[in-house]
Amino acid sequence: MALARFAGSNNSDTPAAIAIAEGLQSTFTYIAIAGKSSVAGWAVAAISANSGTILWQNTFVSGSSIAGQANGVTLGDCDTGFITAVGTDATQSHMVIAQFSGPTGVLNTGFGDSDGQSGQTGKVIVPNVIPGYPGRYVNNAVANTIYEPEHNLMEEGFVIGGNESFCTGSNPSTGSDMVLVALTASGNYVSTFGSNGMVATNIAYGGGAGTSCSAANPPSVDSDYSLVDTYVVTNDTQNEYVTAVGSSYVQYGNGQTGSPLFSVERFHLEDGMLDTAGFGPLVTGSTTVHTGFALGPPGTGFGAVLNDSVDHPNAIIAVGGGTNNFIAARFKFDGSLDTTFGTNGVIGNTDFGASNGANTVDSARSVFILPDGSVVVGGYDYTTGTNGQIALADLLDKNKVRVF
Amino acid sequence: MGKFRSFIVSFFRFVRSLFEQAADCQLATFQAVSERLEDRMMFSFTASLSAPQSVVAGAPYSVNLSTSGGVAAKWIVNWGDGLPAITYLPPQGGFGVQYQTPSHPYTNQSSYVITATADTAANVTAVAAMTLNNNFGSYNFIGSGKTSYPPYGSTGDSKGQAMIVDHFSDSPYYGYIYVASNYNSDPNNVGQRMAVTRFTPQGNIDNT
Repeated sequence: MALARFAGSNNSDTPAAIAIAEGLQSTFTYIAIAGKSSVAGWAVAAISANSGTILWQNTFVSGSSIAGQANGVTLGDCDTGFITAVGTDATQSHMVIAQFSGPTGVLNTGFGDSDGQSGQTGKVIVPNVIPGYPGRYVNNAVANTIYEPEHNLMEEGFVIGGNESFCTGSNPSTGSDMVLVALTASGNYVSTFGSNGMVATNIAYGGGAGTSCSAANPPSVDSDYSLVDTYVVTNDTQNEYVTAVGSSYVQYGNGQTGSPLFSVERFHLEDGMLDTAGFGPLVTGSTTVHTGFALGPPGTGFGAVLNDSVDHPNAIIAVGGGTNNFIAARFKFDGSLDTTFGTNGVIGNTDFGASNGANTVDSARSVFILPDGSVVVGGYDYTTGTNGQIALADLLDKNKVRVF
Repeated sequence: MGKFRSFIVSFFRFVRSLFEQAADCQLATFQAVSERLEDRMMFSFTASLSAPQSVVAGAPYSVNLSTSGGVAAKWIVNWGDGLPAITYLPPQGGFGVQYQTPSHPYTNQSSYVITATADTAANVTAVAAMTLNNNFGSYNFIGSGKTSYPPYGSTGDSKGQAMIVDHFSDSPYYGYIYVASNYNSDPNNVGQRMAVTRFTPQGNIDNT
């Protein structure tokens, strides 16, 4: 186990993301973690995966634009490359992307220096992108995850997923939008993606008169936590997508919301448009309408992975927290739940239990495919009022071929 | 006196010639025996190939190579998956582990006939083969497929927040699982820290 302690003597450091990469000029494999240091802001560290040695760790003090929390991280290589992390600013009102030198951890001043934001070299502070109402109140804007697509249009660039919650005094029945931001490798917006590199969608449906609008009474939330790239099995490279997984609340006419549902959205990577031609079957009577998004079981999605195989081409497994249990759902390429997975596409009964008989709060945060094709899910479990633990589950202990 | 001296010299020359002939004869005999032994050695030069009958798809699958009756200067292994055979040479200075236990990843579940050919410096060859049956296994994740861990060496709080798997096939920790968590059980009471814990592909904590 490697331990990273950031500034302060009795601080509370919590990671939110982890990434791994091979060094180009050495035999080391590197780990990057990012999260929050309670006495500072963002906390980022690089670790030798072989030995667990902390190579460097860095925090960013209050007052800087990256004094909030880092939620996602991606790692080029620590020999010569960069670590790019995403999160929020100190007031949680803007998505922030920052890049650090792999070998030293200092901000890369060549990143984001031409994005039109003066004095923000080394980072990109995303303006609130939702086409709003007059007097819109943005009470939360967070970048949750970062993804490096292997696509010629986005070569060495990034797609960042996050969410913005908002409401307005005149129209309180508002909610939260899932936001994607596309950046080049140097931290400039990809102009061909959405509107100047940004896309916002609101897939929560319903609506009507809501409750009052304030920071203390925030609107509903739909957000994405993990991005997955999917590919159609053709040679047409234009048919390449980025898929976002998160959760949505269904809003009712009285302003109340139901339980959050797993939600998956797929976008064309080339322009950021929702894939409304082939993803997300929403069945209304006998009519199937592709909406570009799909809803899954009750729960909050935190992670996803491409689960491509001969039997299940381009499927996606999304994981998260259900009713105190790990929950996982597999979506087919068209967005429908794969009924061959678990029960009607869902495995929702992974309960880690408790020795004292009490219920445990189990929540999955990440999912990955092991070399044997089995699906390992990682997260935590704890009994209310007690300490938590690392929890791992292998959902598909079957004979599978390697899928990555 | 002169005749006697001449006789003595002749006698010793005769005796020396007898010894020289005997030596030549012994040498010839030794060479003949040696050639027969070498022939016998090459005649009995054999190769052996052994490996477990289970493989994890995508993970390195190792075989054990050995010979008897001679030393292999190189091994040529056809892994039976349609890819060209691979020649394995001993590292400088002798035999190495990789030389005698080469590995290869299989990515598809199928039956494979593995053929290993040992080749001596004198170009004497021996062939061994085995069939890897349609027997792909998994990592047999512990704990009935699920398990949870307290913080390392303590009973404090450590909730897993993010996880990733080493998916680089040339990494010594290929398939290992890394989990980032909080960790508030530091014996020095310095507050909660970030922790990264490595697990084996089977789900055991890797204390190394």
